[in-house]
Amino acid sequence: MPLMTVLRRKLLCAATVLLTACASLPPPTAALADAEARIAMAREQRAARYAPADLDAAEAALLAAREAMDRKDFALAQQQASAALVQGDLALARAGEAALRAQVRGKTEENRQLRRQLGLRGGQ
Amino acid sequence: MNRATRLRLGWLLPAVLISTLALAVEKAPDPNVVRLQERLQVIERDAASTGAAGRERLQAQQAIAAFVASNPKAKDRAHLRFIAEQRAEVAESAIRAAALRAQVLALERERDQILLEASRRDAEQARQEAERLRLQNLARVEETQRAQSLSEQSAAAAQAALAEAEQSRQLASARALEASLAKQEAELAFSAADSLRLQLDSLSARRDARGEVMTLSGDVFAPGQAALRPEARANLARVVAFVQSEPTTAVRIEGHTDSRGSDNLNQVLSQRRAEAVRDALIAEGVDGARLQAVGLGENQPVTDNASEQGRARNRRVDVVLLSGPQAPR
Repeated sequence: MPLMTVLRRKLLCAATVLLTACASLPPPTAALADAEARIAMAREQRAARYAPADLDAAEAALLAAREAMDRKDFALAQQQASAALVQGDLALARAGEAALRAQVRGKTEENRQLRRQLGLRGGQ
Repeated sequence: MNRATRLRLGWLLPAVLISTLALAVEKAPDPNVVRLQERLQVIERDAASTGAAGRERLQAQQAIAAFVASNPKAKDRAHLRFIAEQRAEVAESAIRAAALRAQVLALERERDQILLEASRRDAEQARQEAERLRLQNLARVEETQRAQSLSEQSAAAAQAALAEAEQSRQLASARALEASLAKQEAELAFSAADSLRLQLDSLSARRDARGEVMTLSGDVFAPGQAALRPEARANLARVVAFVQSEPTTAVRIEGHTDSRGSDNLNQVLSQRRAEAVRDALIAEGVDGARLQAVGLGENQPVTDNASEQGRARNRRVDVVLLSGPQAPR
């Protein structure tokens, strides 16, 4: 095989790989939608009250992802969408945790009062 | 050692040194990787012990693995690290949430326990109260029995009391009857007052087996009463004159009633009425020593008790001047 032919083939391969790489970065619409849905879920779980900082961070990442989408910077959009998703998850988890913590506090107090009402020991 | 060999060694040595250093640099682990792997170990241990947060643990594991596997010089390494940290955070929160859920359940069980304890205590109090009442009742029963045996001991006294009670019951019923009659009599009383005065003024004596007799009709008494009516008391002049017509003779004052009411009551009433007349005569100056008051009840009617007129005649006080020396003393 002549040297030129080999070189040409290698070049062709490189070009194909480059093109494929470019073509394999479609707009991360699904990732964005996932992140949006997760943030909405966190809101439903009253994250605005129980985990406001995490919710704010998730929303900021979502906004950045949208802006990147607008600029057709799909790589950044993908990255920000995945950050928004994980932060939405965190807001959701912390809201659930905080709600449970409140429940524990409430029930502890309830039991204390019940003990006192019923005149049982340990309820002063 | 020839020159060529020395030359080869001359640049082989630095090359080995450099490659060793490079290897050492390559081998020095990324502190972030170490930290995240340690964190993952804790997450895995806690998730296994609580049996919860399975999905979150898996996601953390994958994110940390992606970060560890990434090229240290890759552009997205910082992003991968961020995602790994966040996933670890999520898993830790989920594990804490599982612990909190367990705590909530424990508190709910505790609440049930409190209620159970309270109801047990109430039941115990109720049982003690019931026992107290039972003992109290027992004591009362014993007391009653004791009282009963006491009263049995004084059975005779009780019998007497019973008889007495029966008597007073009869008296009461008689009084009730008397009272109802009294009402009737009261209606007549007003018009009777005038005729009473006339009657007393026109009293006359007659003689029978007992001696000289002057009869005061029952009208001189208020119905059911033993006291003389005031107007009768004021008009006793003829009776006083009759009694004083023989100042040494003994006088018997006999009270009579009609047949209504009980024997007992009639007896008592007739006696009292006779005594009332005697007292009135004494008040008018008659020597009390001459006077004897007797109650004869309903036993000596002068006429039939069937009609009101007959009963009116039977209600009377006879003032008898006893013939012969029959002084009461």
